Amino acid sequence: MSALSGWLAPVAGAALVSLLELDAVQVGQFMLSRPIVLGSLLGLLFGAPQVGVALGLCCELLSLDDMPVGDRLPLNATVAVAAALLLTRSPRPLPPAVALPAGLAAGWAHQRIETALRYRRQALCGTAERLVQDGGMPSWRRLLGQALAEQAAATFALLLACVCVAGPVLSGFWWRVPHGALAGLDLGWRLAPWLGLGVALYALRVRA
Amino acid sequence: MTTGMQGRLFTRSLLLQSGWNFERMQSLGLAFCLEPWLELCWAGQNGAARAARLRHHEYFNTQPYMASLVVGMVCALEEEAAAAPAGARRDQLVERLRALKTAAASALAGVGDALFWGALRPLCAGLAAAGALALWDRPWWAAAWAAGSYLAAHNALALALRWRLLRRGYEWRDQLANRLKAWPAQRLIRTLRLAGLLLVLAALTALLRAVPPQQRLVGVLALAAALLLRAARVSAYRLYAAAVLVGGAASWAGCL
Repeated sequence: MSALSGWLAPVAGAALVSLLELDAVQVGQFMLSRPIVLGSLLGLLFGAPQVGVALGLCCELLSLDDMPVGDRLPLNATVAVAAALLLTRSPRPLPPAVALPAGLAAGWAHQRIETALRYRRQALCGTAERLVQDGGMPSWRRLLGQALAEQAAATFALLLACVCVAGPVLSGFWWRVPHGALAGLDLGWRLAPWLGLGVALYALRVRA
Repeated sequence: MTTGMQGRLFTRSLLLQSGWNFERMQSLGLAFCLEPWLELCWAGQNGAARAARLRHHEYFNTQPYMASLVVGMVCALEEEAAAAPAGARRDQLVERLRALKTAAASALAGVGDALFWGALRPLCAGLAAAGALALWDRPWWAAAWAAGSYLAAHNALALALRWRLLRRGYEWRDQLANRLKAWPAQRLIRTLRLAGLLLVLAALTALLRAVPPQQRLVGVLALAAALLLRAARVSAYRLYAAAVLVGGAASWAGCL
């Protein structure tokens, strides 16, 4: 991947992430989509392992106490870490301190999109049930394939928008923002692992 | 249930949440998962087979890993219902199946959330973080450790449990609730959380060694603030946003 030049590498990365993101809820849940795993793997693929681990660690720890219980849909930490890493590796790269909040914003946007997709999927239940009632068999490949394809396409479109639109806009803009804002983003970046470890300790302390 | 059939059900159970929606949650995935078993049990009984398929299109939701136990139990109860003569006895068995499926799903969701999301996931994160921070000066090794250790630790336990629970659910049948009382889930959760706590403390030690000395005090203060504010139900993302705002304000005031 590191050999791929220009826009091809982040676009290929976005395509890969859109498939791996399915692991978060819909397929398997082997934890390939956990931020620390995905961040590290993408870091290795893009030849930036330290940035990958750092972003993955921050997103992992910050999302650790945000559990997908019942119908609760947390901010998508998979998309957050992937978007942040792709923004640091695009032709107009952002520093990690700026890419992290941009990634978190992408994770939040994905949460909204996924909520809409989950409402949309309700129709599939009715379709499958009607087919069984009529004495037929649901075409599982089509029904579940549609659900998975919609999710992957939405993730890919969002990441593509991040890399191809938000990235260039932010890279042309971030160094013009007031010094105070940059200092704030820098402090947030440096403190994120500490805050994350505090979150992890709290999550484990209260239940130990 | 043959090992081949168990394998088919297990593979299909990996797609349990593929059609997750707010109306019936995991019902589409469950219906897909049970399809080969229902086809086998209700072969030659078209009307009853259709009714069996339809009852698994009803609302269903549980923790996805613990769903294996429910799938195993449902398979056993479907087999029993299919073997019973059509009539009142079969209707009674089907009603019992429905009630047990709903009750087991609710009860197992709580245990599964605490075990997998509340204990195993933080433990794996602690393991990955501690190793990656200890290997910080060797980034390729740090990244390989972070990804490899997390995946190995999580899947070694989770996949083995998912496979075994499917068989256990089938064997325990309607005795699932009684059998679960003897299952040391709480002890396992407590042990995993304590191990996770030690690993997070190891990660903290590694972070203290990795950062320059002048940053340590600020870092420890941020960690203490995070602990206090999480206790006050402030979300982790808001803590991060607050750190950005504090940094901006401090810079504006000339303190940074």
